[in-house]
Amino acid sequence: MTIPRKVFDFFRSRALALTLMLTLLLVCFIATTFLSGELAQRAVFTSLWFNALLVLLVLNVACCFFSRIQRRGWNLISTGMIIFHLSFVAIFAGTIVSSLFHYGGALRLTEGETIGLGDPNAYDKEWWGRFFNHKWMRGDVTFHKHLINYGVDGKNKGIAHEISIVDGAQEVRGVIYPTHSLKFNGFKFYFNTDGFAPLFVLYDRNGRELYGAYVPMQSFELVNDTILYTTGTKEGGPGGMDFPQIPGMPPLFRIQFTYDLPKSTKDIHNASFKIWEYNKEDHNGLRRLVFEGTAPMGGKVTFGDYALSMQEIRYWASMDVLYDPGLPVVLTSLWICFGGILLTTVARLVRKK
Amino acid sequence: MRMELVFFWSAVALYGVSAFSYIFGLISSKEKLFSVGMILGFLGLAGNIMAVALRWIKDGVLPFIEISESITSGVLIAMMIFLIVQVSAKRMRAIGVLVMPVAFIMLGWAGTLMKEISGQLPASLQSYWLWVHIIGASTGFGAVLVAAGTGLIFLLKDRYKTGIYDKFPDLESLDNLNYRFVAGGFIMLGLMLVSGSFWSHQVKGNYWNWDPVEVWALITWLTYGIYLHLRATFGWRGRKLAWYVLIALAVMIISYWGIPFVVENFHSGFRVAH
Repeated sequence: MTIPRKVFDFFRSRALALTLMLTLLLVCFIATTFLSGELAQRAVFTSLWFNALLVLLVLNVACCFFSRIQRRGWNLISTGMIIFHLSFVAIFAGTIVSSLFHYGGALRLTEGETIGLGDPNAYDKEWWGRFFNHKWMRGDVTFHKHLINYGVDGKNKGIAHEISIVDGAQEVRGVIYPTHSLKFNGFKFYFNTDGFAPLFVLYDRNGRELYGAYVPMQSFELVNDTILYTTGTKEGGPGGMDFPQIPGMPPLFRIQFTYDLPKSTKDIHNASFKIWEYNKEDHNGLRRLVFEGTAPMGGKVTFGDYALSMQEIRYWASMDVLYDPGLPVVLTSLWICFGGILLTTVARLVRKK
Repeated sequence: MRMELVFFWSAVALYGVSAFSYIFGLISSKEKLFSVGMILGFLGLAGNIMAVALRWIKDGVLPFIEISESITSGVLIAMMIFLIVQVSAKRMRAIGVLVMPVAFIMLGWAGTLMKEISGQLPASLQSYWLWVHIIGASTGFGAVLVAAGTGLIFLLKDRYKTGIYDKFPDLESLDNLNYRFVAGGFIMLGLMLVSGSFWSHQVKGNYWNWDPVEVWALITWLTYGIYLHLRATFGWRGRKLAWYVLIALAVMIISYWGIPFVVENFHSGFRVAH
């Protein structure tokens, strides 16, 4: 027997198929039972050896397919099996295309803001495949309006975002909500999350406007089931931010802005400020608290030579921008795969009868 | 007490008495008790349906989202499949010895987990894929539960052979039925996986996340896939496969309703506000 034949026989073996299925089953069991979340993802599901197992399974499936074509006559059972095996290989091919060419990013915009799709500063997080070319990210994205209780066909879709993407003469404008995305040049825009972005303005001692910025608030659920809207990060918790952020100039302070959401529409919107002196050398250490106070919307708090005020409330939205050229192949193949299983099983059952 | 709860707990009680009737019928070799068990099963199913319907009407929201609702709907569909088998194949009635106690325990368990819910289905769940997903999962569970029932009576008949066991279908028929229900369940579980992927794509833009519940659904599907593989290509039959389906049922139950309790995943918090 020649070596290629031996290799082929190894890969088309039923014992290999069973061993691989059992191994995958066991690995999945261990990963989800004894490891958890990130650790399982890192140690197993995204690891090279686990993906090698999947590749081996696909090779096995492909060889079984050729072997079946050779040995069996054309009937419903074998047709179903062939469809199943081929679509399984197609799913894998789609996955490879995806992993090499995909792009994903969490794009954050404030209501009314326009930003370049390819601007890396617009993204909280980005990830892409080896062969993805950032030049494909053309056009500008605008977040027009934050919609509450958005209705579609009499159904309340909750929060939705009206956005548009423009590239020269090409334009797409629409509303994204949890079950509806927008597509533009192969990129899809998915609804993700949102929050408040009040406008804070810094004044000098004469009341002259020095700087203004929409500051995105994170929402933190407190022990008493209330929500705290403040600056900080999801991972690190509430905290301050350097302010103002003017390119080429050092910040003056580190400020934690907190927005008190009124309980009813009649109540006043308040903002709280905690201001520390800025210390470049001591960026993450303790700083001297220079001011702590609250002011209603439009009102000012004064500290030293400066004053701060919350002028208006807007929303920020974070949307997932995804590019995945292998996805249509995978999704189509899933149904074909399912059809193959259905055909084979039904044909087998009918034959038994 | 709310009517919904009256119907719900009546269904639990009726399933419990039905389970007792099936088990006692087998122990005492009284076939009539199987019929009593079946009638009680029908009455329990009526209560089960009423409880689900009243919850649906009251909230105006699909009552299949919370874990207790998911178990309740799974048991409901499983009972429908089981009772169809009971009516159409009298000699198969003894499968209630396994099916009814499982239905009783699971519905009782669902009752302890039941809680008040908000009357608003999250926008992310307002998808037709969810329907396909639930139908696939529930009928898949029903089919493999009945398969496990046939597995159990296969093992009992194989061991004891005479007496009431004489009235069961022959071993080959039981083995075939076992295979048919597993095959049906495998297809429906496949439908559940595919529709789940499409829902994930619609909402999140991906089709697979290696989320613990996804992985366990895959484990269940693979478990039944291996069954079919063992039968079709390795020639396994009879006792070995009967034991196999009983173990696979345990995997299925852990996968559906056990995993969401022990790990944080997106299946465990569907009603959490945005």
